[in-house]
Amino acid sequence: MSAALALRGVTVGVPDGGGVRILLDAVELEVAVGEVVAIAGASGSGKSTLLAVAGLLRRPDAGEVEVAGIAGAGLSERRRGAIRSEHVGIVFQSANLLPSLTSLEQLEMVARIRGERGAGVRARARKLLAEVGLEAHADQLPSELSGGERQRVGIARALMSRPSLLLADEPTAALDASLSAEIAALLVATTRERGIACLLASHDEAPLASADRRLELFDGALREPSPLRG
Amino acid sequence: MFLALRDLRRGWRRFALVGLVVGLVAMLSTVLTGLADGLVRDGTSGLRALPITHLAFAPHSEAVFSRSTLDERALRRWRAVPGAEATPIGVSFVNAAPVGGGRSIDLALFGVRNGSFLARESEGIHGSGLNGIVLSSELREEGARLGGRYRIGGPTAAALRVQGFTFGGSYGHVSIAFVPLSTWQRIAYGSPGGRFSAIALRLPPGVDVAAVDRAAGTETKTKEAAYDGSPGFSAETATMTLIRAFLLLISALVVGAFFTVLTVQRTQQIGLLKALGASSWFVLRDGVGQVAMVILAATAVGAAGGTAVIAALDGGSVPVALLPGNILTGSALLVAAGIGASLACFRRITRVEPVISLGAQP
Repeated sequence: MSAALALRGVTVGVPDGGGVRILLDAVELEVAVGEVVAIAGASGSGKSTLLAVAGLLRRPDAGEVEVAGIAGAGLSERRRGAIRSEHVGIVFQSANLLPSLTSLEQLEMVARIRGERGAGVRARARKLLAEVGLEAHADQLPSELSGGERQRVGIARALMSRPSLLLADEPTAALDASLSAEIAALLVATTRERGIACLLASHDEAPLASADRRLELFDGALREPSPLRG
Repeated sequence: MFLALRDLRRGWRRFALVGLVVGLVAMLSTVLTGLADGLVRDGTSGLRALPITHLAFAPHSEAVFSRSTLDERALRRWRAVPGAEATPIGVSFVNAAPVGGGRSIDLALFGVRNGSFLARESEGIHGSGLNGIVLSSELREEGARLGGRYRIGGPTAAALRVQGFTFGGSYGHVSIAFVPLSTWQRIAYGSPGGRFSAIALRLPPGVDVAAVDRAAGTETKTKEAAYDGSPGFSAETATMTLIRAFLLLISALVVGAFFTVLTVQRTQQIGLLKALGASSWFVLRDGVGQVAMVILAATAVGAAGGTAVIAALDGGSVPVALLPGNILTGSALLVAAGIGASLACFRRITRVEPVISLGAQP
């Protein structure tokens, strides 16, 4: 399998008092097309930073990031935005929906950013909402949806751009256990159906358990999970 | 504008306050425009109504009649210009006392030569010629009557009979009156003949005004440029312009502050849009477009309200004028100032990092 995402020697540090705290220390990671990789780790271990670097949302201090074979670390913000729009779908913690848009419009917004419009866009958005079981909620605002429904809209929105890489940051953190398992299953199933590479960060067991590969971020480095940590 | 329109429709309350402020500023600005135009019109209506294209003054008089004295030599030079019509005019401010007692009236006294185009074409003068005094029709309301007699220049001065009423005009906010040029010269200089304030001109296109000015020893202004010499004109227009400039500034500051607060409130949303692939320009266009729509709507409503106020005042004692061009220009400036102020947030928007959408440290 070829790599949909490759991190090579990625290092990120953040100011901490007078010094620098290393969040990612020469991290090496490849996620193959169609592969689901889960990153576990304690709060503050750098999981979100790892996803941010992988999604070209921030530049690493050192190292390179390749998304769909395109080296992105040194590119301008505008170019990185274009790559995100073209290749990356992001599922956020707590869905992170735009409060004034309905479910259907959340998806249409992604198309607008990509410069797409018209009846085809709307039809695709409806189809995606139907796939996540929200066809009947297409015209509802985020404030009218439950937490699980909001996260389903978030998943459909991430798929709207037909990405080759899906990043999911704590997608079940705001949900109860049963909903968490349901959303995790939906996330993994929809990515597998499409053959999309998926990198998800979580400290919930449900999404971690359904991944093809599971890694742990500890002290800035990725490693196989220790048996003691489960 | 996809997001902006929906945000406006579903969250209009957030924009109501800034819309109200901009609307009130637009209304005030429109009323002030009407007042300023009314003042200008009132102060120059006497001059405006004269059937002339230009006025030739003495050099360095800056279109002020009281600073200008010309003679027949200059008049002859202007009359020699092919196709030009030139006639002397004297202008001064006097007080006229009715013979037999009563309230005196202030007049902007225009001395015109009998038989000239000024006398021929001014309402109330033509016909038998000018031999008494022709008053602005507004003075009827102050008790002036046809056949009434007024003395100008003290109790020993000859009485002038009111022979008619002309257009309701004023100069320097003083009602105008026409008298024969010789009468005006007696009042102004003590003797008839020789001198007058300026030369009223009707020039065909293409006249080399500067060359004739050099030859005649005059300083010629277009009729519109001559308004500047009207007493109080510059001060009034400067004051009104300053007030409107302050209103523009206040409006721009209000909109700028509102958009800054809105941008700060939307930092997370801007980060999210960028994370979804939107450029800073995309975000700015959406935000500024939204503010522009609010400003446009508020300005339109405010200007309409202001226009209604002017229309209600028109014809009353307050001098107002409804000039659509000036109202549109003032409104366009308000909109431009608001949009310009909202563009000041561009740097703030470009600085928002998409990474904040993940809650990770930028």
